[in-house]
Amino acid sequence: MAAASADSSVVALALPQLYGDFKTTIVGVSWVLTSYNAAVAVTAIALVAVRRARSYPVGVAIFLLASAGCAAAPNLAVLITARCVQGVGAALLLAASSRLIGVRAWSGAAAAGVAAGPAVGGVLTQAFDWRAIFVLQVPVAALGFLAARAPGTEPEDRRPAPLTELAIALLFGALVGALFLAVLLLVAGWRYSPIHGAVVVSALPLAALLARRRHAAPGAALLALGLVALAALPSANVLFLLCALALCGVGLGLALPVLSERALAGGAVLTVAARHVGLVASLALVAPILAGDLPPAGRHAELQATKLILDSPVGLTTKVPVALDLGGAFRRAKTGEIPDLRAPFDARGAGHDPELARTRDELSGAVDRTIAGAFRASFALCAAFAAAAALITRKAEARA
Amino acid sequence: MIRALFAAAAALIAVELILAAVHPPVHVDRPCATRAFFPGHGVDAATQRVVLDGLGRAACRLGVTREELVLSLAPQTGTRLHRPPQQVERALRTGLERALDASRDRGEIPGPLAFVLRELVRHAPLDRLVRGELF
Repeated sequence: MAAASADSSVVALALPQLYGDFKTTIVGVSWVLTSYNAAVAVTAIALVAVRRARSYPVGVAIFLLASAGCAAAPNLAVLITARCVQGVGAALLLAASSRLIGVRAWSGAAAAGVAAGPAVGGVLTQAFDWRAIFVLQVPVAALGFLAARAPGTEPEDRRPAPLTELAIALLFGALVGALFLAVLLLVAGWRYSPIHGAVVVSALPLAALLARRRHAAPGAALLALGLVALAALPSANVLFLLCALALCGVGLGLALPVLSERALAGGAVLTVAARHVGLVASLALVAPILAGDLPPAGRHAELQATKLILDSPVGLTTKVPVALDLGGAFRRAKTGEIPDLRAPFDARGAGHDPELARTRDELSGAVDRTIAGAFRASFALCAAFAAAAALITRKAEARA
Repeated sequence: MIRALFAAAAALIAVELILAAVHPPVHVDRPCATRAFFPGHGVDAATQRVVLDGLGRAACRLGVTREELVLSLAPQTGTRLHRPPQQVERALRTGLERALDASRDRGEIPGPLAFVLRELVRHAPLDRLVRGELF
């Protein structure tokens, strides 16, 4: 159950590696995330429409086989196809599992899975390979069969809560910013390794765990403010990012459990559909915005780096080789490699040349700020999702 | 507790906005913008002054930024100026010649040496000129 929820976000830290391995585009690689969430959403909506009983074992079996397919995928098309099948299995098992483990455990496992997904995926990606994420899911899914033997009950009294479902969809749309965008910024923008990125983004699930109170509307508003703080990052300072992620986590911890429990009164399948519709809608909006903003930012960063190098008060015998190495780094960045802009300076003696070190820090800081700026519109959109969730939740609470 | 969290969020955003104002973005100068001369004494600093001044003058003639011009000289960067190569080369050589004249007028380069360097600028390979290898 948690693994199926985590799959919504687990490949986030592996995206840069997938981008390089499959030599694709930002939009192309985003489909590894989108296809899974879209398949879960479509399947869940279909289950609502046909009012069919959900089969947990069938869902687990499909999820298990598709996970193996993802692990063995030779190209992006096969991986995306396997992710779609995985999403169908996940929708079946997520919809059926609330009967097996109860509403409170279901909402807790779902929130924990989504929030912890990037950290787990990051550790596996760096320790092994992106394929390790899917390899690990095979035994986890096999263990899930054991849960199928436990007796379960479905809530008798189903009271769909459309406003709450809408708030959940918006909240999950906002999570795209706190999880996927923050991870992409750390790894692809600020050159953190997947494990270090995983450590940083762990602030979100940890803060969510610490937020034990239950305040849906204030929680969603705090998530919105956390996302605004991410949009306003002034530099590549991880402390600010950690604080913003912690705010997002606290907001999530306050809002999601109580909203999930309210929504689950209308049945797990509706909640599953709402969550994944929110994720897919947000990904569909954010991916093109980011794909449109990143290349000009990269181009601007290249011009800024050139200006700083030209004006740097270091000798020609140092300046020219550093400039050539930086040119090579920017060239490799265009093929998907994450450039290390500090290395050319360090290789030419920035350790004992204060002017060179100052130029390195200035250049690296300017480029990082420019790249962070490219994420601003996407973070702001996610903050708008969270703010809308807060307003809708407040309205729903006022009605109740 | 909720109020404290909101206050913390507002404080975080305020600090971020203040810091963003303290660190303004690096602006790439417009073509023909007036720039301060490269500082320092000695052959290296004088050479950089000539090369940077020459690049600035060439960029101004071509109507592009100095940074775009430099990047266009390295084909692997993928920067294209959409100007005929001959026009770029002419602008660069002329810009460097003018920069040499200005350096001579400032008394940094003796007249006879400036004459020799001007001949080099007219005939030497362009990439070596821009790297300052011939000065």
